[in-house]
Amino acid sequence: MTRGRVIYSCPFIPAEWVRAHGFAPSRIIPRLAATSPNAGMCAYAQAFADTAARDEDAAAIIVTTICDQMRRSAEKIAAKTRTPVFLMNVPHTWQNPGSHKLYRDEIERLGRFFVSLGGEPASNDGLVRVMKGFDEARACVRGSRSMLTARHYSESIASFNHDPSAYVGVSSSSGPLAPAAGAPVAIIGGPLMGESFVILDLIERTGGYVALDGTETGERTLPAPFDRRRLNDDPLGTLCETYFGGIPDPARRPNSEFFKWLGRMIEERGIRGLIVVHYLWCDIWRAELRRIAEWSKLPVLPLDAGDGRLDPTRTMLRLEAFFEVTR
Amino acid sequence: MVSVGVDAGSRAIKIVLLDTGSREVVASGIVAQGVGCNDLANDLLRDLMERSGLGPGDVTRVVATGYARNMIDFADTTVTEITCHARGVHRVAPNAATVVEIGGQDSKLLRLGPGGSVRDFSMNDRCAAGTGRFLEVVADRLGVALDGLGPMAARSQRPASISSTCIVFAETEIIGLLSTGTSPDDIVAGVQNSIAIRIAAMAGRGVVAPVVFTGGVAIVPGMDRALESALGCPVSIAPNPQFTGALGAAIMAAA
Amino acid sequence: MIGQPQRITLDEWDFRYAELCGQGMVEPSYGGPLRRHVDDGGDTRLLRLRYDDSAAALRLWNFLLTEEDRLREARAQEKLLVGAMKDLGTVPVMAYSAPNVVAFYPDGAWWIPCVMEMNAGLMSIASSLGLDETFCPVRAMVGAFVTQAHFPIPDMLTCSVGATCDDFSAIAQRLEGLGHPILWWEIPGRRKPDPDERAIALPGGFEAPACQVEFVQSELERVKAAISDLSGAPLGDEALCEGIRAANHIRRILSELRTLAFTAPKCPMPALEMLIAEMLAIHFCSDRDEAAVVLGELLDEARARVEAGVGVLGAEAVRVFWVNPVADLRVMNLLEDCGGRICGTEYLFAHALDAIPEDLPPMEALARMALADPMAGSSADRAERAIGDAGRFGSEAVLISRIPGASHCAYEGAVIGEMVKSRLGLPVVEVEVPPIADALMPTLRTRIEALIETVLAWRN
Repeated sequence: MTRGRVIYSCPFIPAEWVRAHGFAPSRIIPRLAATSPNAGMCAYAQAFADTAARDEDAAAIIVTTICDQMRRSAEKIAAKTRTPVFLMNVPHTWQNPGSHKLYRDEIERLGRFFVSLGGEPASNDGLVRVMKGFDEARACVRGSRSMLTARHYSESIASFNHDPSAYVGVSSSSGPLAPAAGAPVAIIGGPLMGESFVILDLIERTGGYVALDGTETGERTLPAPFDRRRLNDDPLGTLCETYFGGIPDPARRPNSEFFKWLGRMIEERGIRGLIVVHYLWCDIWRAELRRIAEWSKLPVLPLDAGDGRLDPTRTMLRLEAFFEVTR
Repeated sequence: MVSVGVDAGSRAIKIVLLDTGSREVVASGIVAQGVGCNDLANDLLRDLMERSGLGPGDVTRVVATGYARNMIDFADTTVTEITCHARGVHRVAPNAATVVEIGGQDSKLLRLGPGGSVRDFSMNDRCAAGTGRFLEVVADRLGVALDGLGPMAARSQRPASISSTCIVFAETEIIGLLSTGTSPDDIVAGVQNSIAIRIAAMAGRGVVAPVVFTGGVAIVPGMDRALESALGCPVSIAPNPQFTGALGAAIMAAA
Repeated sequence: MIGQPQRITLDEWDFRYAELCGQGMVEPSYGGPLRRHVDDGGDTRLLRLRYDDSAAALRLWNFLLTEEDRLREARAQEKLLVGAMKDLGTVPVMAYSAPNVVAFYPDGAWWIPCVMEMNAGLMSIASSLGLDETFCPVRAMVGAFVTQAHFPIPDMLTCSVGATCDDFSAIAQRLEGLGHPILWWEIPGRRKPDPDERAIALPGGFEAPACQVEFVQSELERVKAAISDLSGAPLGDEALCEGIRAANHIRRILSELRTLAFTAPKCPMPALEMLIAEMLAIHFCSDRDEAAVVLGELLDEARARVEAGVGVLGAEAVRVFWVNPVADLRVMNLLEDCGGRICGTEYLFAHALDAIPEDLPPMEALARMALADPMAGSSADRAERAIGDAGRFGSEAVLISRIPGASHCAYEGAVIGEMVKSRLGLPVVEVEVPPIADALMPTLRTRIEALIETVLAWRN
């Protein structure tokens, strides 16, 4: 029995920390906002603000500073709801110990926020138990990759993040799916909205297969398994290091680790093309499009999700052309 | 025997018949796009076949391309206009390394590989401000025909600066420029430059020459010069630029 | 004896220059007629602007438009160049405290497309690198680094990141990707202290928890260490205190100038010159000592005009508080052409106009000032500051200018506008100003004139 749902979208919020305080973590997948965003406003940030503000059952809403659009959305959300809103600083820099300490301090501050809402203070033992549980569950999620279509795998990750307690896993009796035909591609980019998961079907329909979902809602932001050697001695430190120190993101400064991760994945999974899904006013991803193309020397297809709707006709044309090129 | 390429674009349907033996163009035709795209295409094909003394049994294969390619139900297969324009341009300009295609609704920049294959491509995403539609808007606003735009741009002494990425706001800018006494010549030059600059942005660093300009907008005088200025290299117009897509489709049908 | 000041064109400046020379005007080494910047430098926008006709304004413009020469001269003299990006007013204070170091503000390249009317090609270069019009005009900076035609590549680049703006962060990262190493330092989102946290007062009236000030201080220590390494001499507290005093001297001059310009019955200094003057507070236009002299002369001119009861605009000009800087300088003329005058500003660096505390250890003082950055806090905080200043200066209306592509503008305008309307009851208008706004002048004029008309109607 939990003290209520805590909703958020940022992958740098450890679900384990929320759970350890007695709340149910819920990394939501927003749906399109009721109104189109103003020029300059990211459709995803608008959709998240809309969805979060309308969620009357949430015990709290957490927003982070990992991107400026989301940081500024926190004010909008707070003005539209009575649900407590917590704005957490997630540092963009990562190479100096001060940034790691800031992250940990912010996690502890978040913990105090949970306690102020009636949550339990997180004990070391409790946190270790929760972390081990999540580790095992994520191992199941990862293990299901070969047994699911790309869309189902991505949706299972999103579903797990949305409600880890409800995740039931995939039966292994059916065995792995036959390897999909078509050019292996990676889809990378920001978070997908509910309406956008169809892109994974469209890719496979037009001649590709998704060897990597590197979007923010996909496996890129699944934390790595915890370091079991440290876990018992310093669970919070291990948690912080795994999340802050381990999730690759182009918003980091410098964002060299993201490119290292992408390079590794391209090689490991034999990726032959990159599809970058981004929102029109997302500066973080848009600024990387040309650089990704120059660096990877692979065909790169930018898919501009505009106001959140991926126009099916335009998208299909681009995908078809892309796979004609990559074949 | 002929292969057939159908380019069902947003503004016009173009068809090319290609002799599968000699690989020469037997006939080509164009009709305005409209309601009943499939019927329009069918009628055009029938007309071209009759005039060429051919019958249905002389067709080996039909490939459809373009915006409405999936509506051509007599096509054996569809291929995107990206691939088809690349093949078509390669046929008429074998040395082409970069293709710029500006249509009524979108624009594309293709980098070619061996044999007219596409190494990579970019397309404008957001708005008709980088397409032929913008030229239509300015022609309409100035009360001139499209083929009058070229001479106007050539007379410009100081092309106007158009900043909007959206064609609706860009039209507001045109109105603003007119009200402040900016010459129509400078406005037209500004619009052409604006389109060309967007193409150059798609090109990124280091455009690989030779650059060939194709698509319906290539026949609008002055656009090639605007592109040359923006890209920083010579630009040649493909022969019969409206037909390179259909030609490429016919080539793919004959393969 | 003070004559009637005017706003004049570049052509009129040719005559005025001869007149001032005839009156014995003494110019600095970078002085000369304004027109030479058009003829030699290609700054063709100058042909379309209107300027204050004083010798002090001439000096201000020459100082601004010769910054590139100064930077090249500094490089030739083997001075060390620090390019301080995004943080507006903190790192240059530190850099100028070190021996043989000149700091400048590469972001300032955002005005080049306007001043050179796009002929420098900087935006095209930025677009070719994937930074198109959906990005803030600061993208011109990347073009400037590529061409190296506007400033030498600095010996060190710093960039604040975190609670800044995504446009700039992305643009700077792209720059690093082109091979320019950057020392990134973090500025956290400023927040109000929790009940159990020690609250620290910041310049500008804000508060932050002590842990945030300590964190920013630790980040600035990293920057200080890097500057020390670069200059080959440790940057000690004494030098920093001296640097802070020198920066505060400039800030005091500017503060007095702003108060005069915004509150005198007749506006003594036009909006365009006031915008340029405020920008000097950020990095001193690459010469801290000369910046103080330039601003001092401008202040003297403004004082003299106020004492003489003259101004560039009539007493009936509507007092407008201006939020956000404009990419096209011509729009500042437009305000006055429409019957307005500048009466308060928040150009995204209000913290660089406040005095840096001199009764604290210098690094802590700089950290407090850095954390007072309007961008680091909420839009509501920015609005509070604007409301306070608008009330203090007696503003009658507020104009919020959006910077195309700048993501924070999409959020802040509504918040600031609503708060101003509800707290001060002032009319508010928002406009978007691209680097070349010629085509939008009728639209902008309509909005500004409507604002002016509204105020005039209320006055009656």
